[in-house]
Amino acid sequence: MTSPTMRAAAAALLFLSVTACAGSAQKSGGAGRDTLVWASGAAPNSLDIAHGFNGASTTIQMAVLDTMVTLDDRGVPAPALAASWTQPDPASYEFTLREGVKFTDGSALTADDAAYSLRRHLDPAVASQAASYFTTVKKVEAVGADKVRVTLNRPNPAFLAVAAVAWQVVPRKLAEAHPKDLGSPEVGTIGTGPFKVAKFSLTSGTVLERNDAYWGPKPALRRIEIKSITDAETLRMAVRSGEVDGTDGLNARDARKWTGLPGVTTFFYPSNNIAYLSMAVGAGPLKDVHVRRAIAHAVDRAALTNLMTAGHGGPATAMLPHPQLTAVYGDAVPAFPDQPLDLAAAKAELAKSAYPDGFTLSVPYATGGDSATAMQAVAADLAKIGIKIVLEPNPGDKYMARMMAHDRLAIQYVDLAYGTPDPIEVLPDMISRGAAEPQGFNFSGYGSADLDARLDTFASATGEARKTQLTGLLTEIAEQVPYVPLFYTDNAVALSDRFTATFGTWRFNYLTLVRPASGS
Amino acid sequence: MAVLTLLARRLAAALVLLGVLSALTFGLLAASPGGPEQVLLGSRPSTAETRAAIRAEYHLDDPFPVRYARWLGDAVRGDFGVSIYSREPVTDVIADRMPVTASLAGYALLLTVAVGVPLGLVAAMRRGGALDQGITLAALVTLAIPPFALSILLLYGFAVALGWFPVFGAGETPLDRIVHLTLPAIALAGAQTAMVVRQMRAAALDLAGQDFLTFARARGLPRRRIWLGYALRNAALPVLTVGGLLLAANLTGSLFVEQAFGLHGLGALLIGAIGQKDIPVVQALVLLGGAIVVAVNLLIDLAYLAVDPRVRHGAVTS
Repeated sequence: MTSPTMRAAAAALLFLSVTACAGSAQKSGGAGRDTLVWASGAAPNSLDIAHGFNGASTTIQMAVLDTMVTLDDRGVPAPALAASWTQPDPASYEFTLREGVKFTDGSALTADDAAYSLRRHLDPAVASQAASYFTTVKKVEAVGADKVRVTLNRPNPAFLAVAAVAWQVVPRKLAEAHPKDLGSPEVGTIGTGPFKVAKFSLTSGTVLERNDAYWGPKPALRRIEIKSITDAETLRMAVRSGEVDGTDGLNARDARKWTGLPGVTTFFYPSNNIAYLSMAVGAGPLKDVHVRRAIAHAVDRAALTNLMTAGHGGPATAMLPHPQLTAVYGDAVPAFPDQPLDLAAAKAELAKSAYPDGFTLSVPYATGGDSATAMQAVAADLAKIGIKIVLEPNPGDKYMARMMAHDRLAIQYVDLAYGTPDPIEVLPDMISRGAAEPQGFNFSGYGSADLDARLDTFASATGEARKTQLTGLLTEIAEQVPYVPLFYTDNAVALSDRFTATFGTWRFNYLTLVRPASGS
Repeated sequence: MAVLTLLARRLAAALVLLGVLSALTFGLLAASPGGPEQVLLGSRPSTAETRAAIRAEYHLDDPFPVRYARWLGDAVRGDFGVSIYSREPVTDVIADRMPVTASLAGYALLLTVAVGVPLGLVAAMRRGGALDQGITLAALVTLAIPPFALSILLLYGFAVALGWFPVFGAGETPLDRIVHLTLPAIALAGAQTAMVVRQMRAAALDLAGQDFLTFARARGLPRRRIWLGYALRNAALPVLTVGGLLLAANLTGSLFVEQAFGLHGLGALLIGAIGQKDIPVVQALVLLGGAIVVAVNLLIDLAYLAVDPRVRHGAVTS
């Protein structure tokens, strides 16, 4: 997956997608200036994040369901359904609910609803896709009519950030009655958000209507029609013909095809993602750190960045998405050890290894996606220092299954996007021993008891100690090179000139950001 | 009576066929790498508890025969399970998409027959003439264009450049649906029409030298009456066969066209479900496909009986 699959999947981690399209193909934009026809590149499958934590689904959830807290433009937790909160001790939070909020069925939001909405993700019977976000949550209880207390196993500075993504509040009665199929087309969902669901069908699309009783600012759009178009070229033609007003179903690499469309503006903004090479350190030549450093020196990251992002992205210098680096360090991101492009240095590192003359390595990739393009470039780079990569094509689903099973991992191209500004969402996946098991995301297998202990310390650290811990972890990754960071990609949204919006990395709720352009 | 015997025999054969189909599909899905966990877990890190709960709930650790037997037991009772991807009952998922694919298949067959049969007959009537050569050449060219390529051409020409038709979707109202499905139906019908033209022409030519046509001509019947009343009816058997098979193919195999026109039909559903290892949906679709092929073949045979007195006679006496 690395490729389309992982990227799509990854999008899940993310909130990239959107959906939409209009049902009835009226030309030029739906029924009126306050109706948006939106198209996503993938179909949403559930309006409940427990079973639909993916770009297309979560984009709709964000328009319909409120979370307890949200993120501001800088990625800092801000009030949403919780008007305020306190932290009685480092491992607990007490949220005070906003007054007078009602679900779109008319019932009042209670502290019990809010508490249950988080607690359900811990229930194995729900098998929530967001469960891994909340592993530090010990207890969630309603205290009084308007307060919710969350007790953690240990302090977790990332708790509010993950809550901003996944603590969507639904009526307890509804969620309790449908542990498995809340959010399905049959059951649907009820929220307190700016829009309510008028229709949700996997076949004919989704229709959202403005929630006139919404507690926050009134949304500019009255109605949003959302359809899915999986074929990229059909999607582009639908936008070009005016049947669709906007889509996030494009990637930065294809930007040139979109930026020239008349009457359409393509917006780019930094994505919370990172593309990297993972090297399985357990056996073979990749076990040798000199080999890994040689590979890092030999890969032309600037050329690869250009190839994969077409100018809408940039080279990565550390193993974290760029927005997470700036969330921790601000503008003062430290310089981490690096292996810049240098074939002489690469050969010198290789000479120090047990494979001075190079070696041959069989590397699987997913056909038809980004990983095919990227791995071909990497193989050409490595050939220059005598490392022969034999590319082994796999169908996308087979490759994904094989990778998640950690079956014969070697050098993998991975592109993942994340949901929160907190590095703790990323690092345990990369370097903990727990994530090196099948279904985990530590594809290098790099890890140790010491590293796990440092990850634990980092997870609970605050302030300067947190920066120091993070710098130590990223430095070790940079020196030991279980991963080679490659590049960041921008997210792209194409929007008819009849609409406009201000997008941002932390503004997940982007359907509600779109508004009619003045003067259109 | 003979008809009833035919029906009973066909029904028995169909049951055997569907049983074999379901076991094969189930086995192939089980043997292919990966499982429904990928869809259930999403593409995010998961906890061990979640993974264990999912394995238990979907019986993923049971041996294959046990899982198949469980599915079969439910299916025989009419319970085809719940889609792993959308968590809707499989019957609802299919019922939701059936109208799109059925309208597309019916529309395409209508175009195929309405255009293919007359053109084939005309070509046969004007055998060797410029019209015949023109029709034959056009059919050859059309046959050579794959439906997905024709889809893109039609989209650029008639939806984007001229703007006569919508680019994607199936429409909501009946009229809307006809407008939306016109380009996809043409894309699907193109190559099929060419086949029917050639089939029709060949069948009609075979008849041209038959005594009953010579006799009809000798009686001084008008040419139109000879071709429509005598030749068309006699040439109908092979065309019926081809038409039925095309209908079955359209119902089960229009996925490229569905994909190109953003139609959420059965073809698109099958592709998605296989990728997601959504076993209940795949099983139900394969059974549905098998049932459609069996039913269409049965209808063709019954149509033979209606159209051709010789077959009817043979069925009764045999």
